[in-house]
Amino acid sequence: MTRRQRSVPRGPALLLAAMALLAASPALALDIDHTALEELFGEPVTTSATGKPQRASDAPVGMDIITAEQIRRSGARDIPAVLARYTSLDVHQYNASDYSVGIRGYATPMTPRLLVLVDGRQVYLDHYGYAAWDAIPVQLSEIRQIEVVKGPNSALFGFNAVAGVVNIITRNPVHERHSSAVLRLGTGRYREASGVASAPMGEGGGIRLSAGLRGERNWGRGYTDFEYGALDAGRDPTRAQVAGEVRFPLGSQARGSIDASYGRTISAPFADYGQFWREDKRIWSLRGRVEADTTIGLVEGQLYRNSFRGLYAATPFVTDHSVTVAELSDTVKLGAAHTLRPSLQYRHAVMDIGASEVGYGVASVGVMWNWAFDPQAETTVALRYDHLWLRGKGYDNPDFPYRSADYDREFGTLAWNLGLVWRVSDQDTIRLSAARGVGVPTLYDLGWRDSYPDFGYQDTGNPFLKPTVVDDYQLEYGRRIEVIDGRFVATVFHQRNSGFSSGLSAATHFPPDVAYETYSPYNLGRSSATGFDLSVKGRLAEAVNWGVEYRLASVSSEFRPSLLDPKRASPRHLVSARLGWSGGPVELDLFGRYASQAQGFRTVDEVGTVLVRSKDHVSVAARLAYHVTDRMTLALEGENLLHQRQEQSFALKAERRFYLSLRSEF
Amino acid sequence: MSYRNRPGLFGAGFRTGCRGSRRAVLLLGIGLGVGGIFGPGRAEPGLRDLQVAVRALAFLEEPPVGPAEIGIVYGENSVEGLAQALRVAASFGDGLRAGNLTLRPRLMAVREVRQGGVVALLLTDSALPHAGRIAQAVARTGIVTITAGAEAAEPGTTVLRVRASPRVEIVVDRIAAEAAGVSFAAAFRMMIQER
Repeated sequence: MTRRQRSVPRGPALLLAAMALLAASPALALDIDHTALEELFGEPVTTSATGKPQRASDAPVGMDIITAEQIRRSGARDIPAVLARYTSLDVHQYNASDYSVGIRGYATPMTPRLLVLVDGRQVYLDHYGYAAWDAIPVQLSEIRQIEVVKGPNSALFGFNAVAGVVNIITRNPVHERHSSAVLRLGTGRYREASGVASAPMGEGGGIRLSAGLRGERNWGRGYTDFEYGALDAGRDPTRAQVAGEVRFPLGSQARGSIDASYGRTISAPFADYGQFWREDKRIWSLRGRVEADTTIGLVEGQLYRNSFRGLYAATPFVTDHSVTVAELSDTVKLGAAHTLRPSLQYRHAVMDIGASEVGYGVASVGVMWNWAFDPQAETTVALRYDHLWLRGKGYDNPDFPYRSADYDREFGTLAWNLGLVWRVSDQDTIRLSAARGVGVPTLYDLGWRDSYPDFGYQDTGNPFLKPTVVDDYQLEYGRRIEVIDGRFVATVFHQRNSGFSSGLSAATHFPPDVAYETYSPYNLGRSSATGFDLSVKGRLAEAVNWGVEYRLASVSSEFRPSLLDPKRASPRHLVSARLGWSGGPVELDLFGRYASQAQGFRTVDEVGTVLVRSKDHVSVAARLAYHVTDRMTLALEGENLLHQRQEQSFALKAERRFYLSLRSEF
Repeated sequence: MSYRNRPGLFGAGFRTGCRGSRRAVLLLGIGLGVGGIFGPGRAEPGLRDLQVAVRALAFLEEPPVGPAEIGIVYGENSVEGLAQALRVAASFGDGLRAGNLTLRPRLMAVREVRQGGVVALLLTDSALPHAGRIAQAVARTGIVTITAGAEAAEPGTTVLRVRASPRVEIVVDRIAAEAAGVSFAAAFRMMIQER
């Protein structure tokens, strides 16, 4: 397969030049030391809400922040499982390694609505528009915290942050010395080895290396014969990952970093059209960053490229995808009360499927303004304009409805976030927010193309597909409750959506207009979601911690018929509860989760599709750990404990599994 | 004359800058401090307040590192003030740490703040009425003046005001900071209140 590289656009070149100038200035950087700031303020700090560093309690949007300690005690092996145990996010697990994660509904398989980043670098895959959770090159023990923004945040992160953002923050090697190794064996032939080494290096520098190997037997019940036979969907998933980062000082107040990662994952993800298909994906990334504390503010620039290659069972076709992002921002505090954060970004994404290639460039300009107009109240306004230029080549086959010239188009979108935080008293906080997020159609929906004459049909992307636009409104009340040493939070939300893609779920063109019955994406229409989140968590005498999260999402829609059902993809009710105890060298943690019924379509053979409902269910996970020494922990972990096999989604039946892990820190 | 108190008397050894002319007041103050006759009195800085103050110093643009001293400032001729200063100093134990910084207390009467030799000055209640004098004394020295968990000083006189509970609050007085020649890191400034 050939891959054509486009010439470097002017936008990135200008940004690079600007970054170089800033890096050469006498300005100096201050890398954010999460550990020191968290110790100082007694709560997590984040940059995921507005781009400026702020305390979690000051963020103008609803957030969940999961700490390294919680991750360690979760007993989970995957990031989505961690999210399921500490939040009321929509987390669906379809087989031993495949997940979909959504926020407040619409969590279809491979949902395109959640933007996932690692230290600000997107790991969301633009080509199919989803996060391949099993291919994120991060080991759980190197994560400092997982920051979850509930609601659109396109004004900060751009396209695809329509339901929310998950930003995975790793340990900063400049400030944290951390080395650990994990060995884990379990039922289902589970075996895992991973290691992380992070250490300061010289004055203001640091290095972090991580690697992980993992394999297991896939879940065994629920495949269609076609999936199992032709698509190799029952293959046991394996993964191998390696990542590294070097941070170094650039003068006395600037710092640079280079990070890279490579991972290979062989698994059978559950596609949005309801089918498992074995995929061999290789993903690698390279990024350079500069941070500088200058006279004009805290200047940050980054340039990175993610590349993807996917090979699939039953087809010789290869999918190549890459995204290159250059961005520059300046966060500056003006006077005592105002913080501004202007930003520029250029993104170039391309998907090459052999005979044809589709891609786009997106130039963006945005600004965030935070105004602390009262010691107890502040407001945030963020605006961002994105302009997209779409291009395609190799689409001139007359058998299909669209030509290459149809891809020569462009459009612009405006995203915004408004937020108000009012600390009514030392115990009470009110948040009010409104936001518009925009999700760009995936490259797959825009430009996929294949043909199956033997079966009498063909697929093609639709270059005229419109973006998904989400308007979101939230009101949150939070109260610190001393008697439980904890906090209660209630959030009411209302969300209006337009757009949605049908994917390749329904035929749209028929002979004689085209050679064969043709499946092409179209916009499904409008939908709204209304509901509320409740959260209460507390501690008892430092030995016991507990929490309960509840989410109700009531979804209504005016969708055109299709074989994709975002409306009912997520359960209406979700409850997540946890109870942890520690005494001496022993830790015991229990996690329960309830989900009401959901439904989706399953593709049962080459062309047949059926509607499948999953029942409401309760699942339980647990971890019992013993600290053999201060630096070595032995843990017995279990998941799906209530049943040997349990129907938790409309895909495979979840299996009960046990794991024995040995974690050593040195 | 300065001397080191016996370790253990107040839970820690710390320096004072007291002069012999006020030795009687000092001894009386020590007695009151040990005996706790006046108790904690007004909103006296607790250990958590002090920890916040010390950790905040790590976010100076030129943060102090290694072992250093913080002056615990009290009003002259104030027995109660000296007693409170002693209690505060005792809270430091072997020294409060933040990153590479370890701060140990040093008792200082208001008029002794010109001696320098400290990276910060913590103003106890009895020193607050003299905040203006103290600010003048440390102008352009880079010494951070702090009030912790106490009543606020007159605006423009004290660089840093901290409170640990029920929610950590940190307020930087921009006028006082500029006068003292003190500046904090940009990221830190975005997370605290400035007046």
